[in-house]
Amino acid sequence: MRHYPIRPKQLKSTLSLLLVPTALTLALPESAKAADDAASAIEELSISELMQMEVSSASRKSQSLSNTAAAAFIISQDDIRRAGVTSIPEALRLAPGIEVAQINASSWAITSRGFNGRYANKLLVLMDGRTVYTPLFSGVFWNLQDTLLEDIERIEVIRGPGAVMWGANAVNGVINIITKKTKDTQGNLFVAGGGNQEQGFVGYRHGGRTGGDGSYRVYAKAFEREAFLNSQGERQHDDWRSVQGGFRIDERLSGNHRFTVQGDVYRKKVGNTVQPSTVSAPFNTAFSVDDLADGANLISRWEGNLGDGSEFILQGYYDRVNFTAPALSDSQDIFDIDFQHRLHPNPSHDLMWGINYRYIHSATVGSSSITFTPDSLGYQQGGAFVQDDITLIDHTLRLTLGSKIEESHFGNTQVQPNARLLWTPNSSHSVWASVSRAARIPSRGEAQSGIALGATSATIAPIPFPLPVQIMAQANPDLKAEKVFSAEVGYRAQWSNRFSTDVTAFSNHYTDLIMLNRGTPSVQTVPSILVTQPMLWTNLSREITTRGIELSADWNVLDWMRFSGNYSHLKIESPLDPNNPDTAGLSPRHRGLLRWQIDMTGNTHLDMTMRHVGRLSASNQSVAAYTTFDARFAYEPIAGMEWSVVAQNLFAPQHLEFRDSAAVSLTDFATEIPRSIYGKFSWNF
Amino acid sequence: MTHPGKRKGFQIHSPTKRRRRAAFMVLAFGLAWLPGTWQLPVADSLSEAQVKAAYLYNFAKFVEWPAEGEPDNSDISLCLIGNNPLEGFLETLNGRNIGERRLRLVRHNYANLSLSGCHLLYIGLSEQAHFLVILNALGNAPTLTLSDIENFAEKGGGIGLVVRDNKVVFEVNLETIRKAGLHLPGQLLNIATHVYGR
Repeated sequence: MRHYPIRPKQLKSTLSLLLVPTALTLALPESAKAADDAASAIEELSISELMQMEVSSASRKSQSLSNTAAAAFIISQDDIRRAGVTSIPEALRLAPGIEVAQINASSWAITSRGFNGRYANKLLVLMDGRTVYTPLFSGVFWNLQDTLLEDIERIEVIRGPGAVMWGANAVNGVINIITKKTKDTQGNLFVAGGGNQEQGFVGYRHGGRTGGDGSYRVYAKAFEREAFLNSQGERQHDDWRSVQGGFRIDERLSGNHRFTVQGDVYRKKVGNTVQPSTVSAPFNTAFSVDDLADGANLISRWEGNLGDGSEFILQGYYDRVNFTAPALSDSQDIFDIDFQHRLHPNPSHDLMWGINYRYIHSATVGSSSITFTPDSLGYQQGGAFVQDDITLIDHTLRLTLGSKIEESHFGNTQVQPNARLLWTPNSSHSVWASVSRAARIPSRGEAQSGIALGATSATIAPIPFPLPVQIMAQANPDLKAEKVFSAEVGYRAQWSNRFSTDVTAFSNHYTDLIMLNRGTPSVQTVPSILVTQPMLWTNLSREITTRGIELSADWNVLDWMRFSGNYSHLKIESPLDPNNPDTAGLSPRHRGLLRWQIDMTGNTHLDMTMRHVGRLSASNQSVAAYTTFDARFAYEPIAGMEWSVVAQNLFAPQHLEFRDSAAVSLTDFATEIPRSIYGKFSWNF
Repeated sequence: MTHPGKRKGFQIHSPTKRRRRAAFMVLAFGLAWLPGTWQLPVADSLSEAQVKAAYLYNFAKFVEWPAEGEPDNSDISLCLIGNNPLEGFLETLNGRNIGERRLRLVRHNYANLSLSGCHLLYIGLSEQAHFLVILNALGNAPTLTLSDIENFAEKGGGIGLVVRDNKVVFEVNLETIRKAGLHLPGQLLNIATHVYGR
């Protein structure tokens, strides 16, 4: 112990005045890198050399998932940066199994495993443990969800039910956006840029140490996006402006207790063209307005280790979203408290349980287009879960059993069980299978709102002239929750440290799907003749099955070149029913993505992304198949500073991805996604 | 943009035109990247697991254990727990010399935790769910714990290996190191990306 090549004590006394890297390099010869033999390389590299060594991210990603018995995928900060994306929805395009279709400059239709739409409701989305899934309409207002993209640590994408851990509405998947800890965002970051669609964006973050054993950061960002054109080349009114700021503090109370406090405030202005959807004024002509939204949230989280090796997390948050639009305004407050405890009663069980309570208050101001009854409502929901990870054969076979029970104001009590089996014959291959039941609880919109979906006219015998027809979605207070029974299998393999694959196959069986069902028309004669065609939110008696396969692969061909890609196949077995929406045609059958990343020199990087999406064939959603191509070139003149140019959608001047499905009466000419280019400067100092 | 006739004409031809343009661009990019046209950057071909194993070997050199009557030339026992941690690269360290002492690999199992006599303990990723139980079992034993489990050092592990900007760096929990009666040179602490409990 006293005979090191250089004794640590000696090292301390004689070299302490030297620069630290020099001191540690001196301990070992410099020629280490030349060593072919991996083992001797391990022995000969010094710590300062190791700290400078780039390692491939391909194997890391697959390894971090090798113990996961679910169809999970990780979008890393590196992926987000190198793909040149400027919003969270665009980043999600990188994951297999997630359908991301842009409707216009400021709105998206995003889902997992089918049922896409502007208000796609089967995908739960969380940002640092705070749900951003709105209980008003079931879905996510994607244009309100943002943070400084550089502060995102990773986005975990879990396809398939995640109800046990995450609760209701995680029917087809969960997206977990996780930001970096403040210790990893020390110093200053400045980003700015602009282009033809990204008219301008700027962001600044500062991170520092608190007085104790913790650190903090504050950030602010703003952007402005140009409106898109429709297929006729007419400029739409869908531009998007945002100002947002926030902070995060991570503090260590003691060796065993930590807490985090974080929050954001934002204001968004989203261009909106209101289409005629009622027969009465003022909605008989399309007009353009700016929807305003502002919001704020505050999360606080306390994590602790207890003396028996168990861990707990206690988290509470408050979230406010306030939006003002001509058809509907809403002020929504959510208060949520969540407790989780993970304990280890004996070596073959890792047990976890938790309870959750949420209070939601929503105050709406309706219009002739949308009316909530009552307009203001406070309601609560809560649940409890337990999950046991059972090791059947050490390091080889693991069984996970869990269930969540949830009680909600809308819909009935839901029991959501899950069983997963993970077989890892060795550390580089894993096979898993899962069966689960999950539920989506009805939204307040479905249970309490009347929505004018469109106005048309029809000739009804014996009246010789056409009558105005109002199509109205009608609330149904007796809705039950939607249920899915899902079976999945997956195989993850790390074939070498340069090549890995991940395959998942699933079959989902849905019952009680909530859909608009055509009702019997009624005629009103006073004050004027009006035919109302009701569309009633109904639990579908017909069952729908979806099946699919999702593949992803990562190949680090060379240290400076990497290919990655994914392919998703989805088949929806739902015969066309004239009284119900055509869900089968809302999702493409084939989707694929190929990325090619090249480090041309140590400080220049080129990234190319090609994406293919098959056609959508629904009666109200005919979209041709398309292939897009994005490229990014980045130059790092000095460490921490980067100039980049990103060109997006290069293959066509503009293309259609999704028609706005908010209303029945569609605009004649859909908004298309244009070719675009922007430049960006980023400086870490 | 305001000539509807022109736009219409464009639309009629656009599907084939777009497809051709797409094919051309793929071809152009393909040709541009033919091998040999670019100078290859010099490659460091160590995998992440190898880099982490190399870190461990270095830490073994710099850590000082409390001198409690162990002979100067006794073995340093490197204990491993987990499912094939670091892809087996730690095994290549078995029998290697650190000064006059020899590294001796000892495998342990979570089901049967008796970790006495470990100078170093590497906890594999597979133990993520219950690594705190392992740390608890060690108590204040003079063992340097290392792992690449997320937040390892923050939650009480000795040295956590983390990846930042595609480089493996390390965090130290000084409180844990002190409680175990170990000593790490100040230089090592200075280059750690984060030191908890300083």
